[in-house]
Amino acid sequence: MNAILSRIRYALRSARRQRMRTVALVAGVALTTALAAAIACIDLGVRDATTTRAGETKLVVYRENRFCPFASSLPQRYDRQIGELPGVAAVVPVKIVVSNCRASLDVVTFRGVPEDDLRAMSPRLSAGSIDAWVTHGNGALVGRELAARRGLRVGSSLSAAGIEVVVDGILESDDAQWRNSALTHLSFLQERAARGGTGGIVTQFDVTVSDPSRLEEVARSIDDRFRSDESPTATRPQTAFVARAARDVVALAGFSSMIGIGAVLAAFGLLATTMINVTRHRAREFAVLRTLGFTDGGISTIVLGEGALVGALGGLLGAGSAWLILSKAGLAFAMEGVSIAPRLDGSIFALAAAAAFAAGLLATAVPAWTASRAQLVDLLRGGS
Amino acid sequence: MSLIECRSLCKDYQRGGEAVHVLDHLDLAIERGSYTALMGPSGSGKTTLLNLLAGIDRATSGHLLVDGTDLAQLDRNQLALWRSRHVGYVFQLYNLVPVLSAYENVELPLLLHDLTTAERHRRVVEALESVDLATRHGHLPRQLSGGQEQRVAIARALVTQPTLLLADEPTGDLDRTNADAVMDLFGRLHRERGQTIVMVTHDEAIARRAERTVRLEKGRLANVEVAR
Repeated sequence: MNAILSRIRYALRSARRQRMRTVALVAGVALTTALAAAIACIDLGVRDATTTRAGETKLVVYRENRFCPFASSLPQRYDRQIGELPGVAAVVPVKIVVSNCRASLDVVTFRGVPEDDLRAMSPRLSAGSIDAWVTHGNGALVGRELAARRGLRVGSSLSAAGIEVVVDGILESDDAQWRNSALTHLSFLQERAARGGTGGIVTQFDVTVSDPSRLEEVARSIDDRFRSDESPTATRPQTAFVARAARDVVALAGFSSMIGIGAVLAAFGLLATTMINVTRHRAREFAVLRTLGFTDGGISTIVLGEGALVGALGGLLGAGSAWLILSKAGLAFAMEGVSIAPRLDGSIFALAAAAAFAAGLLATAVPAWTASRAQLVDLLRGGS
Repeated sequence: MSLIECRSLCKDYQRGGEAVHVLDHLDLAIERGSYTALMGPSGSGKTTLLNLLAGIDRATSGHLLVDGTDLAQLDRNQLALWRSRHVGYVFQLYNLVPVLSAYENVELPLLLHDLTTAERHRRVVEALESVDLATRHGHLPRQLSGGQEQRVAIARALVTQPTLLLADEPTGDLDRTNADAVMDLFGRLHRERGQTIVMVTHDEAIARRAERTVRLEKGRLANVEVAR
């Protein structure tokens, strides 16, 4: 045990003294780990937002053949007719105004909802109060990620898409759409969006069904109800709606995942090549250690120890920074008024750090074996 | 019984498809506590013999016993462990680990021994004092002169109190003053501690410092001179 500790100590000492090399390798591993963790979080966020699950109860009613909040307009009076349909538990008319309909990392989405509906939803606030929001006609409850992105606090004003609101609360939610929106009074948003036109128009209805097994059936009954009306509807489960609206973002996320995986593999290749070169460069040092009596296992332990150290430090640093950046920056992909946010799952960061540690060991496995098996006389003569 | 016994020792290398007999049925005995210089022209087999004595190379045939151990019977790892306990090796080009301080270089071989930190520290300090480098503990090799580097290398070779101190042209890269200092150190180790030393050299003046000079030619023993 003492001997193994001694070799690990030698590896630590050597890594500490070769500061530039160690820092460069740790930084490379950290960047790769951060990239891998971020990609995994984005991927998880995309799956969360777009995969229909058993137990889903949310439907989104949109104007048929419309895919942008600017184009989807439905009479607000539909809410009563939808609410009367069998299987419908709740209906919330929502007016949506976005600062940008295209794919972007910083879209401000205003969601106008009736006050009573908002109170009924009992939203969680990390700051501010619903009472303040109720009393301010131009008040907004801003989702946590939007607030982080824009540096908003209670009392700040938010201006986008020609609309200016005052922040009355910071909203917490499990739903990425809410975490990336500014909730305003429906009437306020209708008035500002109409710009002199008529009110009473909403973008969509958020419908909750009483029985998840009846989700598709209720969706069909809503569309059947308005098929021959002035504004026919297209109703989908919320996840399917998000997947359709943000299909470009989903495709982009998939593409970036592939690039990310490629980058991770390339970084691993670079790490392995660097470790091979470093070990080759240190052939004489290892020959001296062998002459002093270090065994094959002892030499391997030293090389693997340095790889493990680089992997562990880089992994912890990379996973930690990815978590910090993703949690503080409030990044979210948005398109057509829907947002897809990365999901920060502790197991992803733990796995990324563990993978970096394993990569450090794996990248040094071949150099460790080579260094331990080299012929001592050849090494002392200057061969590698 | 001699400390080292070579009987009909052969070492062949393949070079360009031809076998080169570097050591050719060499018979040699070296006594415990003796101080031997190995001399001979280039290619005579001096360094090869030293490497065989150190267990860092293997004989092609013949017998080599060091302190009663037949080195041919040990595998790579057994040989490494044996070296860590019985051999101190001094290279011509010092071969200190460049990123470690003088203290850490000397401490290196002790990492293989089951010693307490205090005991390890005591031995390193003692070894550095014995080579007059007590004030250079924290210096990296690049901060030392050639002579000082070689003295650190000697301290590293001695710190485990080896049965056998082997040196491959230890003064080959030093000026006369530093070479004399290293030779004085070897002489003192031999006289005061009874250290067995086998040293390869090309320099007649250096060889005269030893008790005995063994001359090799074409891998065979040419003659043995005993200093008066």
